[in-house]
Amino acid sequence: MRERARQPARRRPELAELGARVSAARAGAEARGETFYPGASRVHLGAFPPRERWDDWVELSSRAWPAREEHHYMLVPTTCFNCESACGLLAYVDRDTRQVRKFEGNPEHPGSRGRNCAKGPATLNQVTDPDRVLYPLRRAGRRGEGSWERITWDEALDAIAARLRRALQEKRHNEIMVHLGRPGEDGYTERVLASWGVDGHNSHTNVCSSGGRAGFQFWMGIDRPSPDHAHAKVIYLISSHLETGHYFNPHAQRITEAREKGAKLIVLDTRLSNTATHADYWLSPQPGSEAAINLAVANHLIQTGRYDAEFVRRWWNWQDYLTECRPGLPVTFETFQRELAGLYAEFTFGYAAAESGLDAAVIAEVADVVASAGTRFSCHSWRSAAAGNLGGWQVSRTLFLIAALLGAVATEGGTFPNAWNKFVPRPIHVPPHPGVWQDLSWPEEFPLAQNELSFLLPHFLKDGRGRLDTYFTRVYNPVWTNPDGLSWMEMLTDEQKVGCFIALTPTWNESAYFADYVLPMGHGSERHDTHSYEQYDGQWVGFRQPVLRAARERLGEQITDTRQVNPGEVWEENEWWIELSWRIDPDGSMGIRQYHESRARPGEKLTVDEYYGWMFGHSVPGLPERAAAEGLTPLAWMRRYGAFEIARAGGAQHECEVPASELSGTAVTPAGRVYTTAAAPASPSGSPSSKSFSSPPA
Amino acid sequence: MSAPDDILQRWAKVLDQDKCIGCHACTTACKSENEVPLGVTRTYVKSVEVGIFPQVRRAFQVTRCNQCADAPCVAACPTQAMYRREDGIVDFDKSVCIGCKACIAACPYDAIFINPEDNSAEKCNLCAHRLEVGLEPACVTVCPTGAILVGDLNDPASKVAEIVHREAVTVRRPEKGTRPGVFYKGAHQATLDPLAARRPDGGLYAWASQGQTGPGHVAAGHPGQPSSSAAALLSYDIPHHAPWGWRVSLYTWTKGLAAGGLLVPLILLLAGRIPWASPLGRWAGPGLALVFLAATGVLLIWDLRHPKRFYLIFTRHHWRSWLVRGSFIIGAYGAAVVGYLAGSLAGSVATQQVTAAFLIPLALATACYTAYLFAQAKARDLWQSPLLAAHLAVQAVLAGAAGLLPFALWLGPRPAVTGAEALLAAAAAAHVLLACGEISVAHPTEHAHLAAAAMTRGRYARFFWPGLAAVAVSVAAPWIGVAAVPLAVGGLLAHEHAYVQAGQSVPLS
Repeated sequence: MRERARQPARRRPELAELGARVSAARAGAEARGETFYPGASRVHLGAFPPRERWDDWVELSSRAWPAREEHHYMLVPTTCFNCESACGLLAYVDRDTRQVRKFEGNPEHPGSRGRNCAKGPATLNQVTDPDRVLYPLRRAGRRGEGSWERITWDEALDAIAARLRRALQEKRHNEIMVHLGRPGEDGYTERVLASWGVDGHNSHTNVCSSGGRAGFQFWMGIDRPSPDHAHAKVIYLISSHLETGHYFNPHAQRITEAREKGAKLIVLDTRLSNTATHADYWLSPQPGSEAAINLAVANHLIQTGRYDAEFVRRWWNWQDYLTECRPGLPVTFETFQRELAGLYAEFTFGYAAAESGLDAAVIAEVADVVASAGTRFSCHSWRSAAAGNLGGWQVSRTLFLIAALLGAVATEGGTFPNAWNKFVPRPIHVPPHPGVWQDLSWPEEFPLAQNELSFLLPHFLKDGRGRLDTYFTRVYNPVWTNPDGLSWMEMLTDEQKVGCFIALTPTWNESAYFADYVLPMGHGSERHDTHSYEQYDGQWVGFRQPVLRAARERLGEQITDTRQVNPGEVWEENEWWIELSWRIDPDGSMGIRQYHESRARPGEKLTVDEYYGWMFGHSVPGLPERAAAEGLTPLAWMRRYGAFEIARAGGAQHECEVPASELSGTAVTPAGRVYTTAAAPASPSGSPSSKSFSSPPA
Repeated sequence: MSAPDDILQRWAKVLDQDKCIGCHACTTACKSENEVPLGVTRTYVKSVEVGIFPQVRRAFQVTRCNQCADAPCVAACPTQAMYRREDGIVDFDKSVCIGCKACIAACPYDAIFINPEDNSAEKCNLCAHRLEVGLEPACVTVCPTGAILVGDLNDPASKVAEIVHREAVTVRRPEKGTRPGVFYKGAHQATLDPLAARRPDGGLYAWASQGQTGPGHVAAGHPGQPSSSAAALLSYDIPHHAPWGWRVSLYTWTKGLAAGGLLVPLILLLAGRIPWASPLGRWAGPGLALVFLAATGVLLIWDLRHPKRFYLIFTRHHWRSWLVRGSFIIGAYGAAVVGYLAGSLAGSVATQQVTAAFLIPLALATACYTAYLFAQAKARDLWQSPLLAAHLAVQAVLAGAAGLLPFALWLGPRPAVTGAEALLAAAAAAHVLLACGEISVAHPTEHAHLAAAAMTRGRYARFFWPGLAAVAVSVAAPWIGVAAVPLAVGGLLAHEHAYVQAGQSVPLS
């Protein structure tokens, strides 16, 4: 034993006995013709095992150490579900126990690039949570009494399908609602509702990012910014984006890269956040005065002429402005420039200082830094100031005003409309948009609502404006999330208002307590979804999958249902919605079944394999070729690597020519605005022909 | 140019606080990689809020084992469960850890803990099991901003070597002489120095309250006037714990009685106060020594988290460890006492006299080695006192005299009683003098100052002052006789507890 204690590590690790067989280090991996994943340390050590060894990777046990106890793992990618960023994860599935040992990052993921925040590895805690819901439960006593009985999935499906079928047959489409918090996927649930002819998608967005979105939407018809932080000269953030928010891990990586290259970081945050800590200029204004600071910066650019006049001339609707707001003035750009200077003149540094409580000299200094950015000005605002203040939408609107003045829109180091850096592949069946209007989520007296007026739902029901026959929640806990949780408790306990409440959830929450059915759905490593988010100037699509299913299939097993691999009877929503839709419309007479039917085997249910196989084979440009080069089907490739980058550095799509195919039936206004009757592509970013600031499909 | 194979690697890490966003990804990645249970961590991110609004920031410190070239934990470990590899990694072998916590007491960074699931000591070992298969440590791989780097100091191409040798890096607590292999870039002194930031009021840290705490809990941050004059408030740290609890306090007391129990009759014998044939010298003294030596052994083994592995101290002994040296000293002393007792019971004065020649130095060694054991706890400045060995000898005489006095009264002769009373009085006076010196002389470090304050004004004052007062009264032994005995032994026990616990009460991280 004493020998071991003094055992020298004289040799480099890759020359060690085990290392010679499996090492991820550079020399060994490259000698075997395998992928070396360089890490941050810039040494011979790899950050991840070579992907060629992901089927059977040998690692030593940390618990048995220094005894060399070998464990064999299959590395299976999936997507984290612990925030909106959708970072890649790599599950280490023990080949012997067939259980997940740990989660690391996925180096093949273009957004997160193998790195994660604290919540990524902690996915394991969710999977092994001793308090999670493992079986379908039905309420046994009164609503909210807390008595439950275990039922089978068949019982739950039949009962719920019968309700939904009756509601649809009785044309009570608007009594069906699926209320989502974090969707965690791109479009699947809305597609299901559309297949039922139901306009039943509700969101939490109006107590979240709606205000932030509105400001961007009014500028470019697209409601999210996509800052190219990595190449920026000046990064301007409203609130903390280094350690929280959309999309902090991917963005923190790129902000840090830019700072290493000398970028200046300006942060407006009322709190001493970690982001404020790293700022070159931390402005902590009076809450709600952020827009005033933005306006003062904008005014500085205008008054000193340090804005991109050519960009403004070409892309701002200044002719409309002059025509509508300054009739009688000549419609020339010079007139507009004069008017612009007059319009913003009141927003002096002194004005912003009085509003914000900051020193005018500090704001002036920041404005000069912003002016120095040119088109390398990346900016971001999401919730925080935009969500927490009356008129908060003006925060992101005035923020994008700065970008639009600098011409830092869709430039290297600038800020992109998110749809250009996002890719939503077209699914196998696309039902038409439902022909009903859901007044409970889109009340007519609020025509300018940016998102569903979800927080009014209990009040509308109380006012007798409708009732819900069947109400689903998923990744949503309204009793907790909404400021007036008690109103939601009233709504959920009243069976006259909500006939049946179904909570789709992996764990208990305050709202599920009031449900009629609590149906267990998988965590990030136990379900299928696709995602794409704007995290840099590029487009990627990420795949979430039940990692044990993928692993066991790679080991030769045939898995036909995700419940076969999940703990207890935990399911996933993809398969659940297909099965439910079939039971609503078993013979296809309602026109629902067709959207959940196999195309390869008509009359049979669509499987997740066919759904995603079709999507990856038909709707993701470049993926079939990439997969074929490795002798894999597109689905097998995605099951193996988890994410695919479709395009990089797409640049300024608004500068591209619009193809003739999208110009059919056009009308051109005197100001040069073009209206078309051509159908919108499935994803504005999905089609290379979409070249305008246009909104993504709902 | 990479280092040729015959030049040893020297693994090191850089923690780049200029890039750290305080997201705690390293914390959870490490937990997951190394299956670290709830309540303990191999690494975490400490934060301190420095400044006054609007000139204020949050400073982070990724906190973990420092991979010291002169690792105090390695020196203190009795069984070589903690060991330093030639490539610089301070590694550990849980299969031979006896759970004595000497490494924890020794570590100036509080980076070691006992895993509650396997009762063995563990800490960051640079993910040695990953390095072996050519992978970076888990914290390096997960970090979103590349703030954690691993590399070979002897490889000029490594980023770590470049930063350590070319940039302004610092290490934690260089004054401890440990030569850390973990370097901080851009770290604020308010985080590096555990006493530079103020402890938050009411134990309210960011996201965590440490208000309700059990015995031995050590709250991070300076409880009073922090050592940095920058406004610095500790905003996050994990709960820490003193490694050695009441059993170790009690052990110092039983061991004093065991050493003094025979030392005092031997002094009386040599002073001619009692004859060799006196029952006091023949069996009462050695009996007292043996009983308390046994109690000492029981306490020491009881305090191990792996009591059944206590024999490893003798089979895998590591001579630099004072826990090993002390165990051998106690063992030798016990053997000598048994030899003496055998001789005395057999009526062999010659045997008594021969063994007495060994017993006096062995008893003194038994009493005093703890000073060296405590000194090996490099983190604990209060225990680094050069007078501690002498003080322990005085305490042994005090305990022995007090322990023997009832026997002297019972068994006589009268000179034994007066002699024991005189020794008790003299030792009590010396103890009071030394204790007063300890608390009245200014301490060289803030850590020792705080430890002394905890003893005299803090949570251990309720032991310290009654203990000191009781021993002070026992100086009157020649006049109050046996009434001094409970005062002396009780006061001493209270003193030991205050001293041992206060020494561990100062935050190290």
